[in-house]
Amino acid sequence: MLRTIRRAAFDQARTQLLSPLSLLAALAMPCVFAFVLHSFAPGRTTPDMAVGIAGIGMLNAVIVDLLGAMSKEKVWRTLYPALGSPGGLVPVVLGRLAGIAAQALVSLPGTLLVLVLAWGISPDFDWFRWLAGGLLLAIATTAVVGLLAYFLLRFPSSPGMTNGLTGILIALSALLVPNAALPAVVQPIAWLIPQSHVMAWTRGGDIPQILIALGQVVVFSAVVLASLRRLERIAREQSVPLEY
Amino acid sequence: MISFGPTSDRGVTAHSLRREFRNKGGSPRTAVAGLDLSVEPGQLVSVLGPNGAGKTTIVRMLTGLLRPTSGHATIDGFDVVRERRKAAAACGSSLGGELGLYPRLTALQNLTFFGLMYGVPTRTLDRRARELLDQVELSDRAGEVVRTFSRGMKQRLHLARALIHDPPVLILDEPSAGLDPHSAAAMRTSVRRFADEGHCVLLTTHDMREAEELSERVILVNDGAVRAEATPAELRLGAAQRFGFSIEVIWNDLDIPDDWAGCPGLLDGRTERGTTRLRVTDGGAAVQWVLAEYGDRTASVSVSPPTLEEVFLEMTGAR
Repeated sequence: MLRTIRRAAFDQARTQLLSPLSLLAALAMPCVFAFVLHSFAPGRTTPDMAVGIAGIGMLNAVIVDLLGAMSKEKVWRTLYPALGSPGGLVPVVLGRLAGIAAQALVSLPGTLLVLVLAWGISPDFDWFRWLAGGLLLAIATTAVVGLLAYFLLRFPSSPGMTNGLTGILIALSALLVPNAALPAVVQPIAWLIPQSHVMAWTRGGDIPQILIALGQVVVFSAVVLASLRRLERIAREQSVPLEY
Repeated sequence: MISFGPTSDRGVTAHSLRREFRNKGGSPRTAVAGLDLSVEPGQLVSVLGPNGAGKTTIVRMLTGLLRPTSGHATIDGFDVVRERRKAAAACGSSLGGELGLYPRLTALQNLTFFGLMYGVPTRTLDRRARELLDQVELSDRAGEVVRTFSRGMKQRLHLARALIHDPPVLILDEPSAGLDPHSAAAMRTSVRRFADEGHCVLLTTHDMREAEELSERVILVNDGAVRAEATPAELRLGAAQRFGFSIEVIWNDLDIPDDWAGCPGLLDGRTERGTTRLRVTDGGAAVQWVLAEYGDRTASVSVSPPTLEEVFLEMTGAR
């Protein structure tokens, strides 16, 4: 199973890493946000700004790439051989998610480059928090957005399944502003997703924020796994079509 | 139903296998109604039936893609529901068509990926994939992406994919559909060789010639139930008892006889474009009579029972 996951991830990355759509999703949208943000808070690039902007790119890229990957599997009808194999669909879909997470990492150095060229870099830039925060954010984003895989495979896809998702998750992830700056009613909801805790740590938080984030990643991953197992079951029992 | 002797749990078995679907109104529709079948190791059995007969549903249940509503089935002794993983590991399957492969990966990459899904050890995976590509005559295209392949090449790659983990059981859904005669013949040769090596093969097909040429047994299904199960020869001879034998006489001159009243067991007859076709209850006696009466004017005379296609049309109510 691990070998299938690894290979599915590798194939996803090698066939899609340089896809124009993927690169555009990972780099263009976050840079636009950066321009807006900088107009309200001018200054050199800080780690939390760099990670937050990269997080927008990761979120957008994971959603776009997941939609693309699952749609292609359905168009190519490659999910049936997987469903009929001993490991079922799970290793293939988890592998695709892992590959998508790796693809989304393009946002981290990509957006930093644009930010630094535009506004320079803060003299006390904390490279460790930028790198560790960025890596954790990619994992956290993929774990949360991974739930979308179930819906993309279970139902005929429509733009409504992904439109708006990026905006909602940008807000709940506290990518642009700290959790405390969010509306009071939104703050407790935002703490339910791991990106908020990763961003809190990037903004100078302590280790417990990371541990909470990792715990939430485990919970979200378990839910993704359970949803894919459920999908396998209903595909076999109810003959849910895994194709277009 | 004709008995074929004792069966074992090896190969493929199905007992009272049933599958119902529910339409949008919630009312059930039976796709497969109590199917019984067994395919022994080394046997090649074809399932024939018109569109909507339930063939694909049978294949999907046996390959673990669809759960039966009731009844049970085994692959190499493993229950397809309770021991799904073991049954899946023992079964190579192909749903055919141009899809089911990754078009952006090469033929070799496709095979190795599916090999990993079936647990083929890494140290032997590449060698096994190259062997199979060689067997299906795709070794010279191993490094090319599949989207450039013709339909026939994709069908052969499907077969290689189904065999990547060297399963004891092979289940193929219309393996030669849409292939040109050369590709279809190559596909039949590959499938036959696999059965000759002692593996168990179950295939669905619309191609009567393919079924007759390849199969030890043919199972005719319609409306989700088995209508007949026998060797192709037995099915044809059985139909001859009901519809008679066909006698074809080709004359060596233009003076064609038209008096057939004395032909033993004559059911009907007609002459078109220099060839006379008779339908008789006793083929041997009729041939002897033709030769005795008109031997000096006969270029050739042949006798045959109804074709498998005619049997199929009769069973499915189209005759």
